[in-house]
Amino acid sequence: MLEYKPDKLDEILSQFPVIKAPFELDTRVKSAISRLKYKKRKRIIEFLIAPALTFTVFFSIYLMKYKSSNYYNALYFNPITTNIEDGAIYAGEIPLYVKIDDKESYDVQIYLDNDLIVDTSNVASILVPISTAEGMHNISIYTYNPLTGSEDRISRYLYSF
Amino acid sequence: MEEFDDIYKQYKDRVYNYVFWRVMDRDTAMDITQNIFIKIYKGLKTFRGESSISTWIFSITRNTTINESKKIKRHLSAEELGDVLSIDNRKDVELRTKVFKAMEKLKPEHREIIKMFYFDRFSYREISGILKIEIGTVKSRINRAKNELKKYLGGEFVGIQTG
Repeated sequence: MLEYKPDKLDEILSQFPVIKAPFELDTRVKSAISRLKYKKRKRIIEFLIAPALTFTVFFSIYLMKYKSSNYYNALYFNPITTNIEDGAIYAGEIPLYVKIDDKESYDVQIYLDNDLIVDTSNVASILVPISTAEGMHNISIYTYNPLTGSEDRISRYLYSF
Repeated sequence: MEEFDDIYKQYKDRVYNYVFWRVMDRDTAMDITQNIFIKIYKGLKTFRGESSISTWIFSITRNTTINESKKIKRHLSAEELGDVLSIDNRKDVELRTKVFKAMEKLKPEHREIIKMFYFDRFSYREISGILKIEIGTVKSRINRAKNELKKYLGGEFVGIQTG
């Protein structure tokens, strides 16, 4: 094996300078890394915040709905009389619609001026056209849940002519 | 981050020097070096230590430089080349310019190994790690590259066989 001896070409090639990195490179790399870190933090925050926000929004909507229904106050009783209001005035016939807003079925009794006019069991909704004489009337809706034993009553006063 | 800072401090000049001698432009070299360090920062967590950190860094450096310099088709004028080569204010700029121009005629693998050995001051072992070739192959390739270079340089360099 021949012994290696540096020659003139070696000498010339070895004289090519080592170029030092400019000072600006430090700033550029630092800010690029900072941007990278910021993006990473942002992604993590978005990853955590987005589901939390979605959950909060849905939970708020759920709570609002829950509170707005009588469900909140009367655990198993929630008859909604969608089309008669206290003090409403009707011409002859009152189209009473009672909806039981629960999956359970109720026994429902409806009284007009303390006379029983509807007595039914296992219903979810009832549409009862009621003919009334002229004057002030009182409609009472009594519900009973045979499964839970819960019962409740609501009343509406109305005027018919 | 502390680990990255140490790496940056230790390697910034060598990485920049590597890139500079391939693209021959200060701003482009800074852009590419910046991208290389971003890749190093991102890859540091997944670096498994299968090779030395130096080999890993210069493999990233080499690949990034190859990829990014493909986009740049830049040929330096003689004046620009003179400016670059007189960066250390030495007198033999003309001779260096001649050698550098002759290097452009070399086979890419020969040009690369000459730059790695002389310009980047890589050891045989480092070149072997980066190019994934045997140390013996590194040595013989350097010799072949130098002989090819002498052929292009002619004159005072002819007749001196290396190795």
